[in-house]
Amino acid sequence: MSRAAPAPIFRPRRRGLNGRQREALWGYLFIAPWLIGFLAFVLGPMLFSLYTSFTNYDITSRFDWVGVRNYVGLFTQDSRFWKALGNTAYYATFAVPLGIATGLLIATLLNQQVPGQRLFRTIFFLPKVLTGVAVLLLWLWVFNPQVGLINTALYRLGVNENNLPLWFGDPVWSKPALIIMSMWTAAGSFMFYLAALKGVPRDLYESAQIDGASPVRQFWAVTVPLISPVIFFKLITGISAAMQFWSESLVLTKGGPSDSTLFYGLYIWQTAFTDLRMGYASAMAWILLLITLAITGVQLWLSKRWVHYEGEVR
Amino acid sequence: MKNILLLTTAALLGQAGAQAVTLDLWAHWGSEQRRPTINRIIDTWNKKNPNIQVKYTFVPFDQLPTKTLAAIAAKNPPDVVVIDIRTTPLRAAKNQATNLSPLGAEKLKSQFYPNLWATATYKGAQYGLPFVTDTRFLYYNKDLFKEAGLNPNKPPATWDELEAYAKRLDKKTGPVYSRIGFHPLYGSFGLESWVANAGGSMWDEEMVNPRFTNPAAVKTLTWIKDWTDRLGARNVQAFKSSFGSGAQDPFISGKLGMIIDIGGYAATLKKYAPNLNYGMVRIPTPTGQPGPGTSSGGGFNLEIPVGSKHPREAFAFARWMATEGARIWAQEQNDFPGAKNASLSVTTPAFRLMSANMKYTVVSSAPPYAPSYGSLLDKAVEDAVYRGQDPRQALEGAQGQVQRLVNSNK
Amino acid sequence: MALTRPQVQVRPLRTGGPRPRLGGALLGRLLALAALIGLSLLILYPALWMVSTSLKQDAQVLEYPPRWIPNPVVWGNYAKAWASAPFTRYAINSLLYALSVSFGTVLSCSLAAYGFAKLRFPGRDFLFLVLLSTMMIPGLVTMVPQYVLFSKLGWINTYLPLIVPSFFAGAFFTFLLRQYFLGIPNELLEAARVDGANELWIWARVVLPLATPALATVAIFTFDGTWNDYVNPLLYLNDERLYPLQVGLATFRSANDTQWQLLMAASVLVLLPVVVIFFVFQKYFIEGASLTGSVKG
Repeated sequence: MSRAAPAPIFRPRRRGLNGRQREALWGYLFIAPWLIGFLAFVLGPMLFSLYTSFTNYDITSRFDWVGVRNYVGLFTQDSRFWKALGNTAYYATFAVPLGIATGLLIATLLNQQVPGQRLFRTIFFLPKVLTGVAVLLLWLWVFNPQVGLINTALYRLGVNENNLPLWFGDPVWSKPALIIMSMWTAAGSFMFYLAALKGVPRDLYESAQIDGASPVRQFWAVTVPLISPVIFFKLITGISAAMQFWSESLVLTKGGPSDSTLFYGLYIWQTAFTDLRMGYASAMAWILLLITLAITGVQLWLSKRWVHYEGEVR
Repeated sequence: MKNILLLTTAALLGQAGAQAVTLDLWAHWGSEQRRPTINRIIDTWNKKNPNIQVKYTFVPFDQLPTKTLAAIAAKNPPDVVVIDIRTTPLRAAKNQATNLSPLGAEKLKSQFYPNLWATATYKGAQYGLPFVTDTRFLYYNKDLFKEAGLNPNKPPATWDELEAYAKRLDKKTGPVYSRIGFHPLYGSFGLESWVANAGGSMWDEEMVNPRFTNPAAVKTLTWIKDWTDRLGARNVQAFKSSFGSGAQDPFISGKLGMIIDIGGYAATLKKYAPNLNYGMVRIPTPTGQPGPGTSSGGGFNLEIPVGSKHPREAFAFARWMATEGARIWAQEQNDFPGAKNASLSVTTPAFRLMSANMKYTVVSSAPPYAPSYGSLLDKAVEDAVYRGQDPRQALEGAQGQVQRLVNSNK
Repeated sequence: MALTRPQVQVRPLRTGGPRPRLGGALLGRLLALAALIGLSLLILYPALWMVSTSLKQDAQVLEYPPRWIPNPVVWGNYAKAWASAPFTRYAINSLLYALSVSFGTVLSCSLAAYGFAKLRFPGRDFLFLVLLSTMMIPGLVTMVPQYVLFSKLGWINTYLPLIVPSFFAGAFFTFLLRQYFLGIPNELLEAARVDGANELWIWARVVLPLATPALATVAIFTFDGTWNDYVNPLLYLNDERLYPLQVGLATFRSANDTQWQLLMAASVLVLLPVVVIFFVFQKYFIEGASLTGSVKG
């Protein structure tokens, strides 16, 4: 792909600013909405939570400095912390790539010239609309071991009655059940990819076809590089969301069975709002932030090899 | 001084009732069934007390604790809140609930059931007034009793009878159970309730340190485990998770011969299964004799959050709400009130059963130093009952974790 | 700065994915269609459950095994559900809330995204990482200090804490738009700059028109997310007259008893408008932008 060659810019000097300074000024102006909001509404609470992570803060009755005690306690004495971290890693490892694959698959199918586009798009948008506690509880029916959709299908496929997964009733199957749910939800993100796919110049496919590339080859050689910025976006935001995943497990499993769905976010919630140990919970939150940032840093570095921007400003 | 100020304000505003205040009341009653009653209670009060007007706000059940907590942290809380009965001592310890003793709460003590009054007592002072509670019963399907050759008028009274009856009600089709007579963990009665039912407790007297490995607890968990092994752990779990959403009811559907549920379940049965022929009796105990912990209950207290601008007026309203308001509530909603007089004003058979059951009902508070102990205990129970861990070992593991939580929270 | 209209000539681009070859075309399309139908059924399953439950009688709701086709079909559940709380008022609140937040998000995020994607300034990459990190801190631990902050501003019991922050560019959609903007060829911007256009003009007249599908995606996702928001309005609003629709749904779930048929009926009514909006307006976010149409003078 031809990258934009930085054409020499000649502009009259104004107000004593050269082009680079002017561009920087514009840059700050454009990000000002975010920067002001960040300073006004976000930075304070974030720094506050960082400070509380070194205290025994319980929101209402005490707020004493305890140094690194919370952090030491987490790493050395808290087996549930490791359990929660492990569960979260398991979930993120599967849910994020499978979610991207699901969204991409649906977007690719919808990008073919099939009839009923409008209807299909609306159907696949449903997972984004259907949220809330009422909808979550519908999943208990889908995963019902005796009459649910999935086990009925498995039974028809010949799985022995005694080998059918118990899903939310079995520590081995509870996380896969939540991952399947997350794929269903991820189907609704097809729009991100479709919007990008619609921007892929058709000429590229045509030249690929002339070269005799198969549809699969076209997908990997043309489609994926061209929509890689969106895939990258979903990867980063998906990891970030998966690391904080918790409310579904609170409603559906309450962390059970046997702590198999005790996710990091759920443990933070329990620590902060049931036990009222906000200092300890803040320490957990900051550890999570650092882990997620580290993963993001690695992804940003790796992205230079595979994410392709048509008009990147170097 | 304060009076002078008030008088000055009154003069400035030029009206007699200038010290009129508006109190904010938050509670979780929003359904078409609950709403009219709470409105009626508020209207009655507001008509009688032009100077203390109450404004009611419905806050959904799942959001009430966090919302109240945030409002207390911001020093702008409601004046009265209807909140989980089990966690009042926690909020007292954390300076979230106002101490009502200086406002004269002790004088009201005799008007309430003692086990409920105690739920809001912390270190000798009173931090809330009991509003409503519930108590659990054994419900059994009389038609299924007949079908299994059991006398529908002689329900089980001991644990042994319970098990013997349950075996008769079990029904197997091929390898799986199409009906299960009873299982101790179905319905709303967990290990802790069974231990209390057997006369034990999972905590020391002050609800500070866990005693999960006491003989009664180990014995009870072993009993539940043996029961599960007889049916097959897989069968029990499959059955349990099939009804996990609460949207299907195994007792109504005839899949379960007996179940333990709160007194209010009778109303659910009346609505959803009007033709079901069932009985409602005291929960069996090991010996057949009832004791103070035979049944268990939950419910709601009235609290005044710390930071209320009008604690005095709020207390006046809370006091009326917990007695006179509770009377209206009990008559229209069939929930069991914490105030004795209010409970006597309802005479339906189910209500009289509940009334008689109160003295055998323990309403336990969450331990203030380890409020989340339940999830640790649940894991121990599941590991032992479903996953083959030794009951004592499982309880020892939970004991260690909860003790650690207590130590770091003290 | 003079707002002369730049005369930009851009090669027309045909976009929209592969045009199938004639030979395997039909087969490929049939396969895609079959796959879509199969996946649709999986997606629809919970939705149909919802509709089925919403039409049941009290006595059939708790039945096991559950039946798919209600008998009789109780259409009255819908009217009853809508009447059991001031849903019409809630709907107006939800609509105003969702529209304001969508507007604020599209506006502020597209500004910030343009800055991050197309302009060079010192500290840009660091600030971008800071932006991303705001998305990675669990909101559970910043919730209370944020509430206290808004309380100090006197914003409790108003929609201000819910709407105002949306005008200050959240991380998620700023990141999304940045990714789209990065794909817009710099030649277009340079051409406009050479003609003397300032950055605001380029943002408004070059970049935004090219990014219509992305902007529309942000708008519909924000609208949907706000429409379904339950926790935040409940946290900040203390007056029931200000409540949005999702709170109305909570009236069917109480501590011990859920009225499933009414809950599901009301859920259908609450969620339907978003589906309809999507169905009607979908062409704006799916149709590829034509690069020529937008930049010619």
